Amino acid sequence: MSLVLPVAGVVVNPWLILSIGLFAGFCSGLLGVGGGFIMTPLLITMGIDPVIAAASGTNAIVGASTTGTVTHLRSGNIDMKLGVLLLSGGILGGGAGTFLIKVLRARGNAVDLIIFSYIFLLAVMGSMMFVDGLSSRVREERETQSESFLFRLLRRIPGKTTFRVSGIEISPLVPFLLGTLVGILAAVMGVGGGFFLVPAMTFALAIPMRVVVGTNLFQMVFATASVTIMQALMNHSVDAVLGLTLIVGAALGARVGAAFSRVLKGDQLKLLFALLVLALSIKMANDLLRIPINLLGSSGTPR
Amino acid sequence: MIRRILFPFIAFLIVASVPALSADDNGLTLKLDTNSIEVSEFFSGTRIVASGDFPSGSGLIVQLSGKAVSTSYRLKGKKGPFWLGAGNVKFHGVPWMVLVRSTGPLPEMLPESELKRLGLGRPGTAYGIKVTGRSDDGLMKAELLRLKERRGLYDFNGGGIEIERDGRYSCSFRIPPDIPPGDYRVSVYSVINGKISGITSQVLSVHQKRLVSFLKKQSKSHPAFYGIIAVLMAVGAGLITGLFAGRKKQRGLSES
Repeated sequence: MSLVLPVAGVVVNPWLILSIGLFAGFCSGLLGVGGGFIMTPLLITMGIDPVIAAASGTNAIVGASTTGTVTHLRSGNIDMKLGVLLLSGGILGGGAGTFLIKVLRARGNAVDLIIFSYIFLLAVMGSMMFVDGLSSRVREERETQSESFLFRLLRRIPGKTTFRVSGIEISPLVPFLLGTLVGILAAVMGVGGGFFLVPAMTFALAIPMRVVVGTNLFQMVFATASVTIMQALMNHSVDAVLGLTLIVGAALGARVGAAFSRVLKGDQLKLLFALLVLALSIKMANDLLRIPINLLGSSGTPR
Repeated sequence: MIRRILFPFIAFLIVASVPALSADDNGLTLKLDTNSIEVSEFFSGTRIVASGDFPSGSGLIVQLSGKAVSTSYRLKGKKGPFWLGAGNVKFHGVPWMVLVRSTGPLPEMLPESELKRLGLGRPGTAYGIKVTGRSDDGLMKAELLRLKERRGLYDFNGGGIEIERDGRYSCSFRIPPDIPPGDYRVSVYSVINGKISGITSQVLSVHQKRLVSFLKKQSKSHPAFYGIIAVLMAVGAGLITGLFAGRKKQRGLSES
C-alpha cells in the first residue's frame, strides 16, 4: 500500500508513517517526553526531505497538543497572561526561524542546520535521559541547585509583573524570550519545545507543574500553528497528509504509552529510550561523515 | 433532431474510448494500453504497455520521457570531517524520467551525433541538460544522471522489446508512484543500417486527482490558505482522536 504525499512529492508506506507517529506518541505517553523531537529525525532517516519533515512535524504537533489544551483549559490550568506572552514570543521566533530556513535553503545549507541541530539535541537529550535513568537521586539534587540559581537570576530582570495563576512575579521579557527560543526550535526542527520549556518553567520559574503543562500545551498549539502557516507561506514545505497521518499514529501511541506507564518500570525504559535516542544521533552524525553515494541531493524544494 | 445530436455523440464516444494509435508512412505504429494515468491518494504506480507494428528487418528504440524542466539540487562538499551543503546547482532541460527500450545497444544502433540530435538514450539526455554557473558541468551532469539512474527514473540500458511472430513488437514501462503530473511522450524509432527509417509517438498524460490535486494546487497558488487548511485539518484530527480517547477512557472507567 502506498500513500502519496502531495507537497513532498514522494510516495511512502502509510503504515510506516503511522508507526513513526505511534512510536513518538508512545514515548510521549510512556516517558512524558515530547514526541516531536523523535518524529522528525525518524522521518529524515526514512528519506523524507529534512525541510519538509520538520515543517510537517510542526503541523502534527498542532493536532497532537489540541486535545490536551482543551482539557487543561476546562480545568483552569492555563495561565493566559503567561501563555499569551509565550506564544507572542513563539510567533516572533517562529517567523525568524522560518525566514532562516528560507535563506539557508537558497544557499543549500538548510538541511545541514536541521541535521546538526538534531545531532546536538538528540545527543544532549539521550545523555541526560541516560544519566536520569541511572540515578534519579542525582537528578533531583542537580535540579534543586539549578532552581535556586536560575530563579534568583531571572528575578533580577526589571519591569516585573504578577502572573496570578502561576503565582510568580517576573519580568514579561522572560516568558517572551523563552517563547521566542521555542518558536525558533519549532521552525528549524519541527518540535513543540516542551522538552525545553517544561523544565525551564518548572525549575527556573518555579511555576506549579499543572500550570506548566497546561500553559505549555496552550502556547504550543498557537506557536506551532503559526509556524505551520509561515512555513507553508514562505517555504511551501508543509505536507498536510504527512502531518495528518502522524497525528493519528501519535494519538493512538500516546494512549498505549500512558497505559503501559502504569505497568512498566520508568527508569529502565528511560535507559532504553536514551540508548535509542543516542543511536539515532550517532546514525545522523555518521551519515554526515560518510562519503555520500552521490554529490547531489534534494534541495528541499517541493515539486 | 434527436438522431442529429445522438449519432455524432455516440460516434465521439466510440472514437474516444478506443486507445489512440499513431502511425508513420513506413508502417511503424504505436499504441499505448492507456494514454492517461490518474494519481490519487493511494496510487502505487502502474505499468504501461507500448505495442505496434514495425517494418521487418529494422531495429527498434522506444523511449518514454518527461518534459524537460529546470530544477536545482543541493551539492554536497567536504568541510572538515563532514559532508555538508556546498550550494545549490541549477540544471535546465532535465526530464523527470527517461526510460529506454530497444532491440539492441543504442551506441551500436545509431551514431552518437544522431542520438544527441534526437535526445535519445544517455548521450541525448546528457546533451539536452545544461548546468548554469559552474565550470565542472560535466561532473555535475554525470552525478545527476547517476542519481536519476539509482532512483530508477533514468534507464538507458535498452533491451526489453518483445518481437512477436506476426511482426508486432511490445514493451512495457514501470511508472513510479511519485510521478509528477504532466504530459510524457512515448516515441518509437525504427532503425535500418544506422539510420532512422521511421518515427511515431504518443502522449501519456498524468493527472492528479481529488485530495492530492487539491492540496498540491493550494500549496502552490494559495500558500497562506493552504497553511490554514493544514492547521484546521490538524486541529480537527486532534479533537476527533481526543474525543475517541475520551470515550474509551469513560467506558474503561465505567467498566472498572
